[in-house]
Amino acid sequence: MHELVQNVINGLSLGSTYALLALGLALVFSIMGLINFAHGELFTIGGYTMWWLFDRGVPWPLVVVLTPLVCGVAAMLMERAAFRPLRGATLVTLLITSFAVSYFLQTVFQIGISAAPEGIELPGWVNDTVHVGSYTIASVKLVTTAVTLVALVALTLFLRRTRLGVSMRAAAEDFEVLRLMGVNANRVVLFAFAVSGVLAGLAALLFFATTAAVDPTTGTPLVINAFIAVILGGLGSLPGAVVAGFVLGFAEVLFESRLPGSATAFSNAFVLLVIIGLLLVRPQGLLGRPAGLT
Amino acid sequence: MRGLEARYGPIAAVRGVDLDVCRGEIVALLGANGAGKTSTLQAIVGLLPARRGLVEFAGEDVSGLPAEKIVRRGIALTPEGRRLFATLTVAENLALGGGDEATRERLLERFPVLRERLDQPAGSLSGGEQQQLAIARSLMSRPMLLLLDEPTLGLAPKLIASVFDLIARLREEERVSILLVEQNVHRALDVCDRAYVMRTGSVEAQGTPEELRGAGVERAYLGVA
Repeated sequence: MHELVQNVINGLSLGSTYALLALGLALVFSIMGLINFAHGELFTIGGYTMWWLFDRGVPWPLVVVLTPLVCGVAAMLMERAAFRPLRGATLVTLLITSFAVSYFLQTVFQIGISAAPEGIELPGWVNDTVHVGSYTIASVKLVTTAVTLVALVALTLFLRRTRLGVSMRAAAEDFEVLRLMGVNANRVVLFAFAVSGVLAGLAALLFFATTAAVDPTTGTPLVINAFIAVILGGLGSLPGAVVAGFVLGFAEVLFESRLPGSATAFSNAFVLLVIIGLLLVRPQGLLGRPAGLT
Repeated sequence: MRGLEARYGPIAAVRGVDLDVCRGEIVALLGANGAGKTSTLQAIVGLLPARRGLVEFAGEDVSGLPAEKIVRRGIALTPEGRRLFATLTVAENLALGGGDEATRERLLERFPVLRERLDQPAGSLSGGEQQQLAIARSLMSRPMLLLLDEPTLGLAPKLIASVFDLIARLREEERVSILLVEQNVHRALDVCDRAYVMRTGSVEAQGTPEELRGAGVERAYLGVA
């Protein structure tokens, strides 16, 4: 029982990172039809921002605010520099561009910072624990889950209550008709990137608060898992991306803790087997619908 | 619009079309499937880039402008198939059309069924209700020129009559000029002041409904008796 509770907490924590990253990917995909593989580098930029700020003694509340902001601005610059000039290009062109941006940024990190991991000097309270009954829980994991839930509620309110948010949902359904409404298409795409960047920044805060180290390729495996979550959740479905992010987190934690010693190296393979099974049963994904941002 | 040419890749969809819509007019654009009617509307609003020619609106050359800028100058397009944002509510669809609260109220008085459905997803409305919403959404920005692309497509005969009644009233009550693309030739000629007949991307005939009927255009170009 004790181990199960611990696994649930770990699954929630890891799932939160995947869910936030998958949300950002799904948002941009819904509007542009693009899976932006350079999204992982936005996450890495979040890690390096934390490293740089903590290294200079910036207080943690400021780091919490600045990291998502830096990632949001980086995402907007990425859209402006790499994707806007290719507006109207084929999806294959956009996909290859996203890989190019990803490798370009990784090289910039390697040359400009270091190919080796940089340790992030986290504040002491990150290692605090909370006692609930007979359970000892790392406070950072509780914060992770809470922050994710707050972010999801805030994003939902933004998409439903603001004109820009409604425009994003409309763009996900029919980008061309949205332009016929006189809405500035470039602005909607730019803000979708900004929101996805902020979500990547939040994911980075939560992830690096646990791992405390960042290197140029940290974001790559995570964005691939987030991509898997987007597919599993159903392309175009934001709740699907979130649910699938958590499913992925739980599955990973579960297999790592339950598989016998020698088999734990294959835990990812088991996770992928589960996902293949789920997609065979529901090819449209867990909450997938034919079209639209739900 | 003068000498307008537009292409889908290598295929010329619009070939040197000249067309005028004067203030307060209803002009019909007729033709068989593939004649270039929808492409002409899309070229006017900038969704289909014009390769040659001029689109002038209210004394200003708007050719080459992006769709959103053309729309903001006072041209609205209600696209074929209505293309509502199906998962968004009726209220959200209207809000995206732009306009102020007074315009919204006025349109909800004109289309009372929309007021009853404000919080429902647009995709859950009946075909007739969806068409009303599509037109109301286009009118939210108070356009001077309304482009209607096949507004009766897929509607029951009774609803078709009401859409044509609506088109006739819109000119008077909303003070909007209308360029109407329509397969229902008889009805379109009944409601319009002038019409153009297109074939393979070019204008083959034009005139008042009486002139076109007298010239046997319905039979010659449109395959109707």
